[in-house]
Amino acid sequence: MRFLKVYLVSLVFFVSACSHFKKKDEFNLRKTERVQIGNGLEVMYVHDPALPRIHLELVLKSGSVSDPRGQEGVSQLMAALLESGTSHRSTNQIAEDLGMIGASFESSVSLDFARFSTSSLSMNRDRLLEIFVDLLLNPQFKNEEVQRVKSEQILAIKRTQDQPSSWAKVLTDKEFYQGHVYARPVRGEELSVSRLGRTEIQAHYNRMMRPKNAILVVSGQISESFKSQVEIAFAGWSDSQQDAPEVLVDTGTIPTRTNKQIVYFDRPEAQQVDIRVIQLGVTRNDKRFLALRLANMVLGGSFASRLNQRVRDDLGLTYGIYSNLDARKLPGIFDVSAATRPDKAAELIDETLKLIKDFADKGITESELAAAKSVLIGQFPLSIEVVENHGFNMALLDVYGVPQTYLTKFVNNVNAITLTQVNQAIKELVKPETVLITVQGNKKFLEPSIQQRLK
Amino acid sequence: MHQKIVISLIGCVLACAYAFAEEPKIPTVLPGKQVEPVIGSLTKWTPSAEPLKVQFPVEKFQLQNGLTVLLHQDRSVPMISYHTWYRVGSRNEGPGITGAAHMLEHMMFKGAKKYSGKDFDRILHENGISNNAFTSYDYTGFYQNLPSSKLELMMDMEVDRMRFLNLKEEDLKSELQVVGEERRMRVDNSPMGLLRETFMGSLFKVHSYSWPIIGYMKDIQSYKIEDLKRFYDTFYVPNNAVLVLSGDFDIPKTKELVQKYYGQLEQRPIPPENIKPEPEVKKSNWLTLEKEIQTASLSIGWKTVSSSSEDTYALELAGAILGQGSASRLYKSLVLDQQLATNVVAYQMSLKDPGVFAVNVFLKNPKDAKKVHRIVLREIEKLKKQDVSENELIIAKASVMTEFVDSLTTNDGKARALAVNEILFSDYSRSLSDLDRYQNVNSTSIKAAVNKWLPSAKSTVVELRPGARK
Repeated sequence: MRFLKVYLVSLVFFVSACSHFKKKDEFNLRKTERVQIGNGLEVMYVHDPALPRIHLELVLKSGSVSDPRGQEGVSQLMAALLESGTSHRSTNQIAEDLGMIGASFESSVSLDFARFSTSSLSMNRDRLLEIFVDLLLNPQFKNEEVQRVKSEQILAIKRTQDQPSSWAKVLTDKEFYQGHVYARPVRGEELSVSRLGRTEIQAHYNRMMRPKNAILVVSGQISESFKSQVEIAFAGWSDSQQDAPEVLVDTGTIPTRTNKQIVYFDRPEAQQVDIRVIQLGVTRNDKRFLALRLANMVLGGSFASRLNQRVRDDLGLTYGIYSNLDARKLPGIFDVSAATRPDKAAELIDETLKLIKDFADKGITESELAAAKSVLIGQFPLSIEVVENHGFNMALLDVYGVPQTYLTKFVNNVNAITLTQVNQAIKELVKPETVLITVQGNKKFLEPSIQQRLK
Repeated sequence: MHQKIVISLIGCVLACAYAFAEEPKIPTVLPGKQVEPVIGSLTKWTPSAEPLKVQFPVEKFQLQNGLTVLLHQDRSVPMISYHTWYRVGSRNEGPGITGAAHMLEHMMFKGAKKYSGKDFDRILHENGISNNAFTSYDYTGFYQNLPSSKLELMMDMEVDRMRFLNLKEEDLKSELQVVGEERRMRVDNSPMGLLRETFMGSLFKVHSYSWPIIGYMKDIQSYKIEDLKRFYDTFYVPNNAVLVLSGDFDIPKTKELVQKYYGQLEQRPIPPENIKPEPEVKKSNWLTLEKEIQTASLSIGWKTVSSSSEDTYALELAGAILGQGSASRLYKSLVLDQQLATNVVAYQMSLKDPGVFAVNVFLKNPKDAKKVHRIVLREIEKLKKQDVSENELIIAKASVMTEFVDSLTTNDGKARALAVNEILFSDYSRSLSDLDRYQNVNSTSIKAAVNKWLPSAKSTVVELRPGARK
């Protein structure tokens, strides 16, 4: 299998939506509606009559970044516990009730947001809504369940350490962001999780799970009566912390880098070296975001990218090399990652740095920009083909404070970007002389050859 | 007590045979039988006041050269999912050239007569087309998602590499390094990858399923261009392929294009397969892998039946009841009650030849491997002796239906569902009619299948545990 998927993932994440087109390259959005109900909860409806499905999703506008210092991992733990007992249902009962309608409850926590969702065939919508509301609003956080889920989370942290690439990512974030909140893994650390108990989880739930901190997205086959049911079901969600301060954590500062640095994560047994070249990126609501997405596509966002053509296709050094623009609420990262055998690590780093430097110095060409636009526009419908992805992308724009026109005028927005804008953005962002390079593998073997090559 | 399952499906499968006689430009043969809409049979899913309506019209036809074509029109987004699958996989390899089918899949991106490798990537990119491929035990698939205006270009490019692939030594030299890195990533540097490889290698002794799809490293490093050429010439022919298009296109025009581009290809006879039968398993087998890791895992399995066997449906539902989701028996027992594991999954892996029934457990403590194995066997024994409950059956069947409807949310999902059934059974409509086969499973057929295929005294176990590197 070839690696790709890279730019599709970022599309799904940041782009959004539409469907039901009229003419070639002209899109009409699905019918969407939004209302705010009395308790401050934003509700979005995305209509799609094509399939008999209904999808319910609650997006919280804060993620693990809001874990109090010393309680890293508490958002993740809270999320995992939502299906482990409510005031009406035991853990087993929840599993059974969802299973009977062919549904499951999914939760995931990211740095900047958290999401909880469930879906079923539309004929089961009433039951689905009742269970969904119960899980979100009536969790019990019983001690025995807390202990069980906590031990599972600690094991999951250990499992991440057993996976070289995932663990290299955790270590790289930590090294790059140091004391900043983005240095902290979503799952927390063994020590921080082991300290958490019912009290901390309940307190965190009260801070996070508030109607004003949430967006509810309902997508699929939606009738007028179902809309009323949804609004009635969530109207009872009172904000117990109305006068309490918003979720605020000292974010810390991102260290300033003044020169190029190589850091080794020693893993003597590794058969493959994980290599990352990382530098500061932008916030998601940065005006240059779309120009930088196009730039990223040229450097390492597709099969045809400069990095892939040179490092994989010509030199055979890796199975996949790609660059990634990870834009967030606070400045995210712009990085390149790849893996290779130990005796080729120095060559891969050298070639990668050369390509990044050339990219920073000269920018991209008119024809490269045209191709990147073509991919972004051509693949755009995929990001909203599934109705719940359309809804989620709309909610995400709200989370990041990006106007909905990002998606409603996506094609125009992309077409309007000029080469000068892209190359100006590259010049402002890409700083090859101050990158952090992380290398995970057998340090004793790797360090001499890498130092020699990069002299 | 519980709400009765309310799933019924009025499906509309229109397998419209293509009446080629009226359009001489497209001289197809084997027009494909007219499949009646399966509305009636699918309502058996349960009585419900609100029937489920799913439109899934498909046209099937075959060119004179044997290429099978499936067309499903869906104009909700201006894109087409374009799938080209071949009946070749690691099953067609032999010792010494393991991974050759996968290597050839990679070489399919290195250029043909009209489009060089560099041109291939560049032109797809410039035209906004995404592109990838996969290899499995039984088949190999290439797929693209393209703006609907690019259909003809895509056909030209796919036909070029179906007929005129340009296999060059220098490309192979660099690409086998790439595949070597892929193997390191998936297996050699991944404890779970190594567990999967060892598990299949322990279950199968002589069948080609015993070696990994990606191949052994020593074989990857020593492929000859002639080996791949032979594979290509033998299997990459129209009569061994299925073309599936799902999305926004005009059906008559598309048929003309298919004839224009694919009609020129010549068919060649496919040699009979030489797959060695597996010896019977005589006793249980336990293998322990030690790696420098912190967490332990266990895979327990049996060789079972081919995906064409009726028993496969009972085994799939037995897997769901045993270990899929938090309502399943092993999840309740191992994760919730006894807390010996952080997760457990049981499933029947359907393959063309004998499939595999597997139970995978993430252990909390490596010391509990034997205990967990005993509990798994005990639960399987219960399935042999006692009826599963009505609710368990409902939950298992509801998840099958949900998965089916979810697969229809994308053109890519629909194309895959059609392609896999056409490749394995020469019958795309099984993607819908299989629902009946699941529906017909009951506690008696589950008991019978588990009794027949999962003998406790003949399980194969691979344990992955922390320890010194070996």
